[in-house]
Amino acid sequence: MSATTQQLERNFTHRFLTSLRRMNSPDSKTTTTHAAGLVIRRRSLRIKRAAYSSMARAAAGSHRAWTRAVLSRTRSQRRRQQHGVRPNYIIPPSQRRKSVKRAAKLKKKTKKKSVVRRLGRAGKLRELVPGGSRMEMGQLLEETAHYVQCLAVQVRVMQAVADHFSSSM
Amino acid sequence: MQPCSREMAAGGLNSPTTTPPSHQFQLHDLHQIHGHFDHPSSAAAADDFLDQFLSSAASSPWSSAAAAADLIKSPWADLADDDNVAAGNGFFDDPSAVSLAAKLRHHQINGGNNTNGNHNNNNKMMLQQQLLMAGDGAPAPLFNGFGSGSIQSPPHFHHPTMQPGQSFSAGGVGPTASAAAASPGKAQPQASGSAATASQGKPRVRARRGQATDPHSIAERLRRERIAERMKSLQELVPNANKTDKASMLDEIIDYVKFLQLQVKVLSMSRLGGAGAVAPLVTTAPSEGGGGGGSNNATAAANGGSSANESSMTMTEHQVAKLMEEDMGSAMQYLQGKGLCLMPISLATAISTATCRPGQPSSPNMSVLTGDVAVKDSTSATKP
Repeated sequence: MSATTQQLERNFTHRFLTSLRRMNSPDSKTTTTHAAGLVIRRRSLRIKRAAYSSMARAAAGSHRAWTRAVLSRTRSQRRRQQHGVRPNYIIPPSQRRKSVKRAAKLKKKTKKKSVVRRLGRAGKLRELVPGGSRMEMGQLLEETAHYVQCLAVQVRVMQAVADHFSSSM
Repeated sequence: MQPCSREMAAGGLNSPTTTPPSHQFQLHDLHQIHGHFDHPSSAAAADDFLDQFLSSAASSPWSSAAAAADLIKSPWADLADDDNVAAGNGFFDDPSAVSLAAKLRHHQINGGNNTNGNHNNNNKMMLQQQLLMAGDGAPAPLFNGFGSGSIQSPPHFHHPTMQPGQSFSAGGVGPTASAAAASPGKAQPQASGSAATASQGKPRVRARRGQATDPHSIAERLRRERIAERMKSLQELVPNANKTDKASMLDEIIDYVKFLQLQVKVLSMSRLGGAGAVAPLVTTAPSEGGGGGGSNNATAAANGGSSANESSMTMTEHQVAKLMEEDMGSAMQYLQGKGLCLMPISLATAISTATCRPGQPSSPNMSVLTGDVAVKDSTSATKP
């Protein structure tokens, strides 16, 4: 494990545990009156989102395009979760200009898949890697390598945390 | 790391006056012609040797150089045959050198399929040194020819019988100017012509034989080389990366990324360490796989939600009972495939009572804990 990987791991662990603690401590957002199953699903989604965003923030030092894409996706997911079923109408003021343009673009392209350039296997890879639809092949492969590295770190850390939590039950 | 190894392999045999960048491009050409992703350092040693061997036009006798070309081409042609076929040519003075060169080519060709890259590298280095030490006549002028600092000297083994697959040897020392490529004819005029171009020693990107050196194709080639480099670095990250085909390598990468993302999803579902948080992950039936223990279990449980899977549970039990009649090992394997394991009842009750906390609903969580512990044990047992 190289030095950068270790540093990444420590950074990610710190952020992830901080976000988990913040999530577990009772605050106004968590008190909802939904069904138990939905609460669980919400919570798991929140954990997954926290994992990805903390990983993106930890890896942001290497100036990768996928980190920005992950963070923007996380933010939109969070807004969608908070505002319920009406994400299209509620536009936070910070996003207003961009969302107007985006809405105009979305009218032309009906599905998400049409945004992705269909180049066979490369298209599938573009779908998987965040922000991959905008990169060309060389950059895509580079970002994929870094993304795979970070995903491996993420899985390792999350597994360790899960083991720790489940063993100390 | 990889370019350094190439240069080191080349540097030991080069003179300081050679220009490394063009040499790098030359090696890239060789890699491109291979068409698959060899381990770079393993190919580099042989490529360097091949380079010296072929770039001997300046001072070596033409017959030995031509014989060297034949020698090197024939193992490529007779890929499936034994190495001794190359020895049968007998042009070369030193028959041992012939067989060694043939072995070198053979190793290099098979090198891509072998995952033991270091071993191959050592073999190639040994072969290379042997070949250099054997045969006093030819290698010495090879060194001289190389020492004069002319990588650009292209001896043209433009035999009409050369197949496209064998453009390896020609491409490795391909012509700098298109004029040289146009004349595949006599040896002597070409030797003088190559000596003339050698004296210029322009550090240009060498084009392959038959391709123009206009900027578009160069840019295209550079782009392809970049992509190949990145694919190689990805190959090291992704496990099971012994595929030589770019398409299957991409498939492997895609599957691995999907697998990692699925693992993150599963782990985020099993992380819910609150009271009663894990219960909906587990069905009403006891000891169905909790959050861990294989993605199948988790996704099935999560998707199933509160649907009663007791029928599948009894089916599993029956299956296990049937397997246990035949063979205990197969029963254990079947359970492990499901992410479960067997444990004595006394142990199970002991664990559940030990970890049972007051104020919690009794049976679902206890079964959850038992299932979780059981699953955890099996996964930790199977971990390497």
